[in-house]
Amino acid sequence: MKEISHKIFYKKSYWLVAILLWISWGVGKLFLEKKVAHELTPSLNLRVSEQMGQDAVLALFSGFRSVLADGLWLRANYQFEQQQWLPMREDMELVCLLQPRSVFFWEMAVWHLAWNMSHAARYDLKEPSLAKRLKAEQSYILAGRKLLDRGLENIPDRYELWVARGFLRAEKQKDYEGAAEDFLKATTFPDAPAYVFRQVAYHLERAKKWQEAYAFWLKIWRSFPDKNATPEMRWDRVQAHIERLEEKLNIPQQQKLFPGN
Amino acid sequence: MTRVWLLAKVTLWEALRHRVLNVLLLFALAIIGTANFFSQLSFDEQLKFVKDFSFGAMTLIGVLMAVVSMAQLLPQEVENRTLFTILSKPVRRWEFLAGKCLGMALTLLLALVMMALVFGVVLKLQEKNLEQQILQQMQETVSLEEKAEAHETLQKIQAEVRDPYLFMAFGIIYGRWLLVAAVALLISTFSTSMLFTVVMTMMVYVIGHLQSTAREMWWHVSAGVSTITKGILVVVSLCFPDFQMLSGVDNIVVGAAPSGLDLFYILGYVVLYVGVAVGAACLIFSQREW
Repeated sequence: MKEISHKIFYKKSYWLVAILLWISWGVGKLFLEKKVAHELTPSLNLRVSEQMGQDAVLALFSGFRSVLADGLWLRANYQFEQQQWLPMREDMELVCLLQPRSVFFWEMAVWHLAWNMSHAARYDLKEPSLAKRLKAEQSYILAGRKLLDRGLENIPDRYELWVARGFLRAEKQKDYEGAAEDFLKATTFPDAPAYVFRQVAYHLERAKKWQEAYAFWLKIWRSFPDKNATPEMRWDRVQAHIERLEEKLNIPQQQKLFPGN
Repeated sequence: MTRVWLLAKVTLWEALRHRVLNVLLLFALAIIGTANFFSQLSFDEQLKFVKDFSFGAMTLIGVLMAVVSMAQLLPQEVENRTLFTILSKPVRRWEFLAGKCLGMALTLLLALVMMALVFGVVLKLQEKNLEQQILQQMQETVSLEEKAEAHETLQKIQAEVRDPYLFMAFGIIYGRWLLVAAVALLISTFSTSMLFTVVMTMMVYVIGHLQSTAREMWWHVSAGVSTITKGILVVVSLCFPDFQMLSGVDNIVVGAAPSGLDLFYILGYVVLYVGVAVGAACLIFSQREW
């Protein structure tokens, strides 16, 4: 009897060690999870699950977040073809929540909202009142802007969304100075394309900030001494802008960059 | 060590002849092989969707392979009576389990290599297809700006297809499989049936994706949380692995790959977790009676 109880105790002690090992590892792993998980996995708003069906929620909690986002995006594309703006908007916003690190989703969702949907609202033949159509147009532009601001909160470290906001502010909100600020921010990223630099000066001109615009064109011109190595900067255009502003600002002949012209 | 290696080799050969695993692998290869049917989308979408779809298929089928292979490991050995034959030889129980684990890890690695090869071929085909479309566009256009834009797009496509971080994604997917396999092994050491192990492991897998939410709630939300709820949150946080940590693959696809240090932490987490799970499984298995 004593031998049997000793055997049971011996056997149980192994179980106990295994459980203790598991729990102590559980405590230890929390530090690692705290250190890494927050940076790697964008926190998922649980309200997301309220907007989806059961299958989608299961997919979400089984690690198929990106596949689910792609599926919803395909559905949004179909809704776009059918001009079902409201469900499309919901799906796109959901996709952005599911994959907040995807520049592509933010950019496209904002483009659909602020450009396509706002345009469709403005020229909606079913709505006879122009005032209501303009109001609807503005509401889509504002929704696009809000979504883009959220996108920038998630991805401030890439140039694309700054450029997107620059264009949105300029073309849809007529805020040229603000647009120039966003383009300027975009130029601080090493992979920013050449046209972004031109956009800064161009929008300063649109904001009638002639002096600042001239200074920025000069800055662009002087930042790239070897013009042949950077044909994408379209130096002919840069030169044309500088010449035009030199005339407009009455820059003395000796201070002009192109005095001969 | 020789005994462990021998057992691993036998397990690998057995797994290669296992019908269920072969069918699952074929399924994965077929799904990945058909991933480039998103031809009506823009090139950005096409490449992203091909990658997401393929990685999703790899994850799903790989997890199923890991669960099934580990869940049937011990019951099959008992049923065939090979377990008793092996253990009657000078083989320790932990050596038996370690050999089996190593064999399964090799099987999964082989499956990953095959899936990665098919994925590579699909991506290459997609690249060729997109290149052709863009070259055709370039021939049709006269504008210098449009040509420059098309050239830029070509470079972008090539960069996306030849992204070295895709190898990092394979590593993370393999880590996920190993983690699931280790959990299945641990459960199978005290489970009485294969079905129980499969169901339990899948539940752990799903709960593991909510573990980070439970942890955050345990740490940061105190108002309105009852003691029982808090207790559940603590148990989930301590006892379940955080599978969200292995979702870095999504970030790699959207061009926000984790840093080298983060990858080191992730793989370290997987290695430690697998080590502890196999250790606990060895402890339980060493005292199990049939």
